[in-house]
Amino acid sequence: MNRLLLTLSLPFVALAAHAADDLPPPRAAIQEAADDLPPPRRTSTRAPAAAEAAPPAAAADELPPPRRTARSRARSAQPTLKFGIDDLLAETGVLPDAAEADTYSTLRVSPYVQWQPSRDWEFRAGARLDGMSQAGGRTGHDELLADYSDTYVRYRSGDTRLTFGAQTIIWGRVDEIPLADRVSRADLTRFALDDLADRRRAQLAARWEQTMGEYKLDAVWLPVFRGAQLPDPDSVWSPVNRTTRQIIGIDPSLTTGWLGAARIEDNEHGSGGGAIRLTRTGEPFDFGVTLARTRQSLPYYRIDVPTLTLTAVHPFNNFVGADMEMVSGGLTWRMEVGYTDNVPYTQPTTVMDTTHALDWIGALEFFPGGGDTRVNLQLVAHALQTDRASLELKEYYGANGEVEIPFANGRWKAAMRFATGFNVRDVYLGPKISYVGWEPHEIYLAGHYFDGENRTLGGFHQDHSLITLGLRTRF
Amino acid sequence: MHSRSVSPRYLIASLLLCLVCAAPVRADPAGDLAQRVYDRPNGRDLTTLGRMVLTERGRAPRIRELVTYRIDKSGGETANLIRFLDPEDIAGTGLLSLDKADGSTDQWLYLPALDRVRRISSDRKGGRFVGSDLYFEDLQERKPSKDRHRLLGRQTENGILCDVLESIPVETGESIYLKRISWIDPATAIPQRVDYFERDAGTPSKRWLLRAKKRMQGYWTLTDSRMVDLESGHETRLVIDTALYDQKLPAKLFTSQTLADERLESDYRP
Repeated sequence: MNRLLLTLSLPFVALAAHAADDLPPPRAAIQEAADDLPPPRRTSTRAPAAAEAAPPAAAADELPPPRRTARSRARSAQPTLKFGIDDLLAETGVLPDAAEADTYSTLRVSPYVQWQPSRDWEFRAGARLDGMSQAGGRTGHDELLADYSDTYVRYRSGDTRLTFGAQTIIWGRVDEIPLADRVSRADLTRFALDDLADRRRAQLAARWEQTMGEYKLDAVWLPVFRGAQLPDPDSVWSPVNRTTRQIIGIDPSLTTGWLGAARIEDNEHGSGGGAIRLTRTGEPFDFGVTLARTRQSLPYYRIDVPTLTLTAVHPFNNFVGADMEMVSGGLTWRMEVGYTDNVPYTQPTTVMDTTHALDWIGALEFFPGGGDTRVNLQLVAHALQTDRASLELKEYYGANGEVEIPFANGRWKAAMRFATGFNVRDVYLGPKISYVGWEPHEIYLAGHYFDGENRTLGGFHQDHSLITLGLRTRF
Repeated sequence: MHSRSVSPRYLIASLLLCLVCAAPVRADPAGDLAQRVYDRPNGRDLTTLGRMVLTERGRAPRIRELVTYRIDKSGGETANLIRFLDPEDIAGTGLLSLDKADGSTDQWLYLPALDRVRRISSDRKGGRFVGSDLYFEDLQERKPSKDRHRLLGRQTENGILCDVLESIPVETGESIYLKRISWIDPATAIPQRVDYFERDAGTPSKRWLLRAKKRMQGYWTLTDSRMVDLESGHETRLVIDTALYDQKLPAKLFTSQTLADERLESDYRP
């Protein structure tokens, strides 16, 4: 190696010209920490081989390293069996303003087992148990839900990956509300208290992922449609609140008279549709294009006043979206834009109609001063493309994001999630302080503050502000 | 951030490089010494399995296990991939860095919970790497020409009579450090100790110390080192349990596809 020759050519005598007076004083001996490290965990797929590869001890330091002209051994993945708890959440909270309840507690556990008999095949089975308890008010109740989590068969060959079974697939680029997220199944049991990944559930899907250099094609077919996992109708997080007689997003003046006695029905049948997404990762920026004809798991409630019925409908939507991501000047810019057709809305006559919608999200992520604090700011715009009057907001402009500040050598973390509307009063504040020094556990104290006017999310939940104490872990 | 920082072996090498910077004038012995450290052979590619131990007085240490891959590409480009194996709350998280010849770095983070690859800024020089005492700048490959170097003399460190090298950024504010002083073994060009000065040019705020090195496949590998926060006493120890050089790692290992699919690394993991 030429570099090494340079090293050898350096005459030690050349170091004579130094500033001896500037020498720092010799350091006091620092007490060496006891060499009490446990042996490394054997997570590897093959035995360490470095020791046997070491050259004879007599080799001089300056000798060039031996050239390895061929790989000394064939390597391949070893069968692995893993099992554990993907997620465990124990949380209890106080609802100071809610008429429905005084406390709301959650226990969630997701065990799994995963077997990889070879490099090409992977089998996974998972379950999820959710227990919720709402107590101390008009609608106290306990709820227990059992569901599958990611349970699939996966096959890899070259640049192809095929997955069949229940999967959680979250497309998109921005935080919280990615527009390209067209094939996931939402979990509304805790509204928006959790991060995006925890607000999604597995659903049956066939997925084909094909990588072509810097490009990746991702195709998903949903053979069986499943709507979002909804909370119990008596839950404070239900999108239909019988206590306040409101439907989320709908002008409450229409519903207060009869909603308490209304019957709620689901309209889940058939397939969920399919979607493809093409992404590219590389210079000068990353981008993606998404085409989808799918049914969204979030319910839209069709109102039938004569029969006092609310029917949760999930019409097929055609979606065309584009997104990009780039870094410039120490800032990460993310953007998504989308067009959706067949979007339902309700006219003042309570007749449900459909129109198309345009959405845009721009995000900016940065670390002030190049330090540990992370700031993510997002602007959102949503516009229904209709001139007709609507019971819901036809346009929404707002901002959301998160500020996260680790401190005390990363043992503690303070964070604030927030959302606010520009054209309507709609406020969410989610402060949280966590102790993460007891790895892999997180103990946290969090608040969720909602406020807003009618037809906004903050307005719908303005009596459901919550203070929680929780433990979250995986093992 | 430059990607080399992400591999433990590379972390250490980079730390060494940060302390030393090359002098543009080859007749300058201080610059020559900095260049020697920068040029120290470390293989065409490298895979390591290691542990990062975060220690704080009176508290249980936090241990992160990680596997790293580095490859030197043609044209002066370098690619690094790091994967955390433990603890469970960060297991599977991956970081891919591509250092380009023009000095810029592209970097992507893989988040297992979302199964999503995200592009992130590499300019977090003062950010702590996974909560450790290593700043992202400590992990960057710092070219010797970015500093002015001066030999301060010789002093014994780790039982070795070392050359003591002072390195001050040429461009004020370009580094989070005001200066670095390095104790370098002249025989191997391996630093034995580096003092980092952040706020006061007279008092170091952090100290890097080499605890052990081992020759593997002909390359000196810094198998045990630690970075000490001199104010708080907090310490980050970096241990390399296994290092494999020149496996002929494929370029495909350093792509977003592999970043998002841990299984694709399996052929090369120690």
